[in-house]
Amino acid sequence: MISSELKNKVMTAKEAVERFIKPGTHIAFGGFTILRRPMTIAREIVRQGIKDLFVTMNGGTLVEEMLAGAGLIKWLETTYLGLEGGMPVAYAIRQAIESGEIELIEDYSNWSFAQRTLAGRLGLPFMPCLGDIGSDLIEYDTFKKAGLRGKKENGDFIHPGIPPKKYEIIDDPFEGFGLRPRRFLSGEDSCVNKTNAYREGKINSKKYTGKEGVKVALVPPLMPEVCVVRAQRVALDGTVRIEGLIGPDLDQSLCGRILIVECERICPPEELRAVPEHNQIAAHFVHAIVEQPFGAYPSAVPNYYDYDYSWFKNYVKEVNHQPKEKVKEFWEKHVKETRDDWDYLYNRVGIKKLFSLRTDPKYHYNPNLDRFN
Amino acid sequence: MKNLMNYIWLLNACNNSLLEAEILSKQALERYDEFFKEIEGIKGEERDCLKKELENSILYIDEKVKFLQLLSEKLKEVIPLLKEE
Repeated sequence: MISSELKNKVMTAKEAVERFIKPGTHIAFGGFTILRRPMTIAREIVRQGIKDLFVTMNGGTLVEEMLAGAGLIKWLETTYLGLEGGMPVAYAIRQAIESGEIELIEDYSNWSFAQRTLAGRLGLPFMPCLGDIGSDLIEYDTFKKAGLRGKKENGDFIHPGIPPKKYEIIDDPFEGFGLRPRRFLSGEDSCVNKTNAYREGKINSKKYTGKEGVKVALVPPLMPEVCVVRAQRVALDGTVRIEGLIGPDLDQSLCGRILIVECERICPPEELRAVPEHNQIAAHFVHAIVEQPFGAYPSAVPNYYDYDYSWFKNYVKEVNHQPKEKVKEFWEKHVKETRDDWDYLYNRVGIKKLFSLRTDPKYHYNPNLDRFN
Repeated sequence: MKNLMNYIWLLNACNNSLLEAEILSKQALERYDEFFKEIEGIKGEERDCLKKELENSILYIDEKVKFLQLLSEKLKEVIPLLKEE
C-alpha cells in the first residue's frame, strides 16, 4: 500500500519545471552525450521559455544544443560541446557563443569536472586531479575575466554558485608518493591512473608554484541549484535504479540542492527493494519524479531504446550553417509548439519510429540500427 | 498507448531480468552430466544436504516458471485481439 505522502514527489514535467526552475537557475543535466539525457525536463523548459539559465553538465550536448538553439542559456560550464560524429561542434551553441547570446562559457576536462561533482556530493572543499595540469584549461578562465570569482566586501561570494578560483595548483604534500608507476615500475598494478612522468623525468617542476616538486590541481565542488537525471525506474518513494553506464551521473545528481528524476517507469518500491544493491540513489534525495516513457528520445536508454541516428542526421541537415532564426524555428516547430512530451513523442516523432528503436534484451541495445561510426 | 506504456515497460523489465536466469540455467544444463556422475560418491550428511539443496532449487524454479508460464499464456490471449484492422 502506497501512502499519499510517498506519492507527493510524482508530478508532471510541467509541474516540476514550474516549481523548481526559474530564469537564471544554475542547473546540471545528467546523462552522457547520447545516453540517458533528461530530454523531457529540457523540452519542458523550452516550452515554458525559461531564460538566462546557468547550465552545467559533464558530457553534453543534446540538451544544451536545444536550450542554446531556443535562446535560453546565459552561462555554460561544460566539458564537451558536440553531437558526436554528426556535428562535432554543436552548431546552435557555437552560434550562441559567437553572437554573445551565451555570455560566458567555462571549460573543464571530463575527469576534473567529475572530481568537482564528487567534492560537491561529499561536501568536501575540493578534490585533487592531475589531468588538466599542463593544458590551457588552467589559464583559460572566463568567469574570472567577467569578475564573477572571489568575494564581495561583505564576505559573501560574488556568485553563490561560482567558486573563487577555477583551480588551485599546489605541490603534492606527499611528494609524488601516490603516483603510478612509482612503486610498481613494471607497470603491473591494478590502478588505471598511471603517468609516464617518472620514466620521462618530468616528475618535478617549478611551474605554477615556483617550488621544485610534484604538482596537483585542486578543483572546487560543483553545487548547482537543480540537478536533473534520467533513470529507467524510480520507485514511488523516490528510490532510483539506473541501468547501463552510469558515468558521472551519480555524483552529479547528488551535488546540488534539488534533484529531479525523470524516468521510463514509476514502479512499486518493493520491486526495487528485491535487489537493493542495484539501486543508486536513496529515496530521500529525490524531490520530483517525472514519468515519461521514451522521454530521453532521441538519446538512448539502455535496456529500453537506442538512440535515433536518423534524428541526428536530419538535425544536421536542417540546422547546420543556417542563420540563427532558422535554428530557433527548428526548435520552436519541433518542441515549443507541442503541448507536452506525449504530444511531441506521439505526433512529432511517431510511435512506429519510437518502437523501431527498442533494445534487444540480449544486448541491452539494438544491434540492427544505423549508428555513429 | 499512453496508458499502456507503464505495463509495456513492466514486461520489458521482466524480460530484461530473465537474461541472467537464461544464461545460468543453460550453464547448469550443460554441466548436468558432470554433476550427475559426482552424485554416486555422495554419502551420509552430504547426501542429506544435497537433497535439501536440490529440493529448494526445484521449488524455487517451479514457482518462477509457474508465473512466467501464466503470464505468457495471458499475453497470448491478447495477440488475436491485435490483428490489423
